[in-house]
Amino acid sequence: MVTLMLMALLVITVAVSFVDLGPFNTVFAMLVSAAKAVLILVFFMHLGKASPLTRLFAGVGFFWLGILITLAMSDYLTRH
Amino acid sequence: MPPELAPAAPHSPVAHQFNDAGQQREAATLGMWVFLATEVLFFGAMFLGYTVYRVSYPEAWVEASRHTLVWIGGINTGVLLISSFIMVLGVHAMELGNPRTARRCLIYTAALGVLFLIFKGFEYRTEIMEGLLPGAHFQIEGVRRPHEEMFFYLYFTLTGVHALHVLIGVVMLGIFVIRLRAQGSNPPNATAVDLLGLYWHFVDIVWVFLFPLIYLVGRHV
Amino acid sequence: MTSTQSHYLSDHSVRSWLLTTDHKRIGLLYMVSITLFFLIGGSAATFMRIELLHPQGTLLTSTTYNKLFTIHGVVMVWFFLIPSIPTVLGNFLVPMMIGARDVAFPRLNLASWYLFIAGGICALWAIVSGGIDTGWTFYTPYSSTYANGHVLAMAAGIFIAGFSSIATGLNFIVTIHKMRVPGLTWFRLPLFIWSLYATSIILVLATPVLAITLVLMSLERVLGIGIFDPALGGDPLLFQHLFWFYSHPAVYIMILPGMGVISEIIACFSRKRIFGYKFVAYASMAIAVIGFLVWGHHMFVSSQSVYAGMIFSILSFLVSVPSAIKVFNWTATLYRGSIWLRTPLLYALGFLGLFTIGGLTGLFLAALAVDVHLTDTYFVIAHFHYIMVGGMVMAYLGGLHYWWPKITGRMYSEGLARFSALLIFAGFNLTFFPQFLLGYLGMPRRYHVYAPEFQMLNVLSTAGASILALGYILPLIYLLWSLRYGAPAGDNPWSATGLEWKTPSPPPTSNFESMPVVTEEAYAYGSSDTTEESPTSATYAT
Repeated sequence: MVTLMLMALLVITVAVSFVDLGPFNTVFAMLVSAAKAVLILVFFMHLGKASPLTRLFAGVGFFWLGILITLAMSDYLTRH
Repeated sequence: MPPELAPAAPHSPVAHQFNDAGQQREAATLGMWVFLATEVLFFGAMFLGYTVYRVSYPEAWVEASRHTLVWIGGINTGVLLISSFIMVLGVHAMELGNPRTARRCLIYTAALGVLFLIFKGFEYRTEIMEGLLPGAHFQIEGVRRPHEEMFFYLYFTLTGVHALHVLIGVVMLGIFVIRLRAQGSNPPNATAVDLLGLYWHFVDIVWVFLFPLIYLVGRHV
Repeated sequence: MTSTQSHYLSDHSVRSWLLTTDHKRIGLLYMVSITLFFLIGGSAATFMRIELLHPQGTLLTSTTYNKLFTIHGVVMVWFFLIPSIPTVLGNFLVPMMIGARDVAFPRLNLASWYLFIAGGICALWAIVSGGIDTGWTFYTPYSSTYANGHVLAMAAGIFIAGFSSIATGLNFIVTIHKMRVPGLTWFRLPLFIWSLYATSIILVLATPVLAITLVLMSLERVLGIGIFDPALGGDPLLFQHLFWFYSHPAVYIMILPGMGVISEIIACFSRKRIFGYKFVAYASMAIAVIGFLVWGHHMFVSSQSVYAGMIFSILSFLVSVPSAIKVFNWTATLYRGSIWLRTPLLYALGFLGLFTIGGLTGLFLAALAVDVHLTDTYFVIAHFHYIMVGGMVMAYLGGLHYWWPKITGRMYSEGLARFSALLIFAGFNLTFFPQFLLGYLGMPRRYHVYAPEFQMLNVLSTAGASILALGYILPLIYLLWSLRYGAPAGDNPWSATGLEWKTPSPPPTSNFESMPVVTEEAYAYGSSDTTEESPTSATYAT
């Protein structure tokens, strides 16, 4: 079940990291991490069965972190 | 129905500010999620630092990451994932009115947490002896490279703050284990164990993101 | 108090105060604490204004002056303004306004006060041991490498106080979501609750970033290396990004609660519903959200990318819109209202004018090119004092006067109260309007030596400050006096709507004898339940 999927994703992410995909290595690794996080959130932390309010609260922190990183990077990526 | 709206297990006294056990459980659950949101931002600031410097110094990141101990990192990831699974079993046992089983699950969860910390300690010790601790003695192949040193600065602070959170989780688990003992007078109820579980899973999620960012940056090079 | 029935103040033991979990008592604990810090922050400002009477800076060394403006900023921001309305009026009123017996987590509430005190003690220790001169903004590398002084102790104090903030915000969010009485839907809530809800979102999402940033800065100071250190390829601007990601939303923490108070006061003292209730509620949320998107306007001249600067500039113009909507709606509420010119409304009217000036001058600063000229000048100082002092502090005082009868069961002297309000308004403008001119003319901030042609304006400003100080001291006196000698207030001296007014003054410990049920909109003035005219003006005229 879920734990086995998580372990499988762990093995996959390590294995793929040894294959050269250029810039997509990072993308892939982050996608796998996100998938693991979603599995943990939905199944272990019962978000799959939670009220819409709870799901909103769960998402807000990550969304706000997204604001921090995106807007700050707008500085670093456009310098010079 | 959403778990926080389910009726609470028996023997959970309702605090005076709440009208009923259901309201109490809903409030406690929402409170924990708000707290976890604050934790996302707390760790998040360091993730911003990581992002800024990885984008600025990509080759140094590749070089530095190759000096991390990916096998320990990988095993530690597995340890935390399994501990989360056992925690889920513990929460489920409490909901079924089975505190003794739950207690055993919490003990195993805590043990795996301790195992994580032991591996982490061993890892730190190895890295320090190799000269990877930022400071006057930092060196990569004999040279004090600044950007690689920045990577390891972020490595030690990120994993250090994370390890602190694991330690706090282990201590909380220990407290719950003690309070769940057979003749205990004030055992935690199912909601409390559930909320501790949420905290533990969150600490797991942080590690899930940290793992590739620290250990897998340049493995293919 | 006069009431023969027992109420929340009946128990006088020290233990009942220090171990209380009653939100009303915790509000009072905070009130006393922040007043103390206000006096400390105000003393620092007093010394600064005296020093600024002379262009040569004759009384103090530069280092001492730098320490004074740092102490003034740190204490006023973190130990006075940020807690002020949320922890004093918010703690007292949030449960009452929604019909609850207490907040969701009363013990966490008490813990938040102890955290505040612990942080305050660290900060006081830092001050007494010699202070710091980094400015309240702690920019690296000065704070992390070169500053002498007790940076770590001060950072620790702010870090600890930050957790007090987070706890308060968390408590309010859960309380407002889960503990409203039947019939109290979101759009029947008093606007004070909406504004505290929006404030709590900021408290909870912004403060953790400050906390970790202070830790990282402290680590750099202790270890001699860090992530802001160019020696490792680090960027000092990263500190500024992280610092302002918190500190800009923080200024909305320092105005949103005030706006909530103003809504309550204007509705009651014009005997009218707030015009455009939903717009005001949505505007509070918009301010909270958009407020997170503008922090780079503090960094226009920092060597941040120009393109990022442009994005932050546009967003900063956008964030003014919801505030403007509120000002229009408050004005529209007053229009053709049955105006009852009592002290709380005097403060609210002062707020309207001064906040508007402060807000408009923010637009000057949001314009990139203009900011190049005005940044780090007294224009900026005048801008934020118009909002924080002309706005928030006046709202705090207005709220204190409005709810004083409920909190204490006593009325204060209306004559003295009105006089103080006018004194504060006059003193405030004399203090800070010259500073707009000084800034425009080029006087930089954080300097105690200035060009001689600026002296006249500085003298005016100091004169204003002495009037302002007198204005602040008077309420301290007559409010305390009223505790013993004030006329008994009765349950609802203002004939106001709102659940908090349906309890005795002072309220019993559990607030309501039976759970109220809400059947009408907020501010149902002009309905058959509330009287049209001001019924008690005869009783309380002085």
